[in-house]
Amino acid sequence: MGRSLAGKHILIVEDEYFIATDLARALEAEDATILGPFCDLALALASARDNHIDVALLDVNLNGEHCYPVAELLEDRTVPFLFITGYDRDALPERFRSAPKLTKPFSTNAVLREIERLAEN
Amino acid sequence: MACRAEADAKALVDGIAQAVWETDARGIVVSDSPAWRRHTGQSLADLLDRGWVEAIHPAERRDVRRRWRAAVARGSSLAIEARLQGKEGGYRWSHLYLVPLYADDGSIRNWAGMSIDIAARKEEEQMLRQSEARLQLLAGELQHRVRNILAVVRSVFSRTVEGERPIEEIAEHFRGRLDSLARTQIILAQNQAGLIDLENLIRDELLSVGVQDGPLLSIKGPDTKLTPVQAELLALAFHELTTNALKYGALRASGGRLDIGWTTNIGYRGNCLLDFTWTEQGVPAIPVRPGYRGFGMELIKDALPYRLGAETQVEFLGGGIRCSITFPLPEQDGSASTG
Repeated sequence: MGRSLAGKHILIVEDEYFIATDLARALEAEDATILGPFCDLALALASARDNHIDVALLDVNLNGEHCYPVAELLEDRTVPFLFITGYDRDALPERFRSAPKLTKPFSTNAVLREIERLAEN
Repeated sequence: MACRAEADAKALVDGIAQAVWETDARGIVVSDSPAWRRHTGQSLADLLDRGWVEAIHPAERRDVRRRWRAAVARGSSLAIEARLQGKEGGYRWSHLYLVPLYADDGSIRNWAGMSIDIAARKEEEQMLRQSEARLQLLAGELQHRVRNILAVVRSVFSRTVEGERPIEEIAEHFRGRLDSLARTQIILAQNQAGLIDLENLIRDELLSVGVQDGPLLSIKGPDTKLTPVQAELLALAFHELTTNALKYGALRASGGRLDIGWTTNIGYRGNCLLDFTWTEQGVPAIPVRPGYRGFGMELIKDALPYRLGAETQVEFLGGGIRCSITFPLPEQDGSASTG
């Protein structure tokens, strides 16, 4: 089955290098355009503000900082995003508790499927 | 006899309670209670009528007043916890009791009030709640760390199996990396939320492959502490360098020599920087280093800069490999943020 991620702009915010680059490689293989990956809140915020984004992948804990400001900014811009985290849902703030989320460790395929779903809506 | 029993009962109550007071059948204080005044610092005028309620902490006052009225209307006793003002200011948690006293005809003659100090119990409860909240947070962080490290292992695995190499070699590489990650997890667990000693981390890695100090190995640098995140990645980098040195470099060749050294310097932003070098000498030139080009090189050249903001360099010089890593250090006072 062919995927429909070609040309989509995907923001990756993930502080673990290997996880971030695995995601970037898998998405590049689908001909998506990658923004990032970013391991730093300030850079991620600037990119989320200034670029066209179809879907964003957000690691919740960025080297001790939470990614929620990025999620809020994306929500204001009505950009769909997917949390990728080792935290349970009830550890997320009320506002984001029903947001799409994949629990680590995840398979790259599961992430691609989820991004596809979010990009379609 | 009746008088004696009443005196006994009064002595018992006085022994248990901070204060006792009496109200009329409507629940209104009409007589003095020296014990109440002593305890709360209220004057007689403050205490009389419904004034005693003013000695209750504002947060509980309305609730006490409402439930007190309801109890009097129902004609049944009441027990309620509330903070009661103290003579020297401040509030202490008390258990307030209101009990109806009956006349011979069965009607309520008046009400007896009593307060018992429960500040110590409340404090214990508070401490228990705090400790439980801390444990819950810790359990959440632990779960997060476990899931995260599994995700990292997953990625390390996919990278290790990339390329066309014999399965034995792949298995050996993966085991080595997994062992290195496991060793760091043990060190991190022993230093809960603390900082990790750089020299220990290096020695731990070398010791795991049986390499010890000697004339051909020197490890030199000032006392340096790393954050858990820095320790995790650097341990993996040391593992890659060590494995390479054992297979192709200074730890394999006779006459090879390995110098591991670091200094701490002030960066241009005024922060503390670590300058680390791994220098191998006396290694006969080996044109290609197959196992090393992949994972280890990516780790040092890309992952350390990405995650630690490090500047790294790997050079293949005449006598062996030279790797330098520079990155900002945490405050060396012993506190660290958890990653």
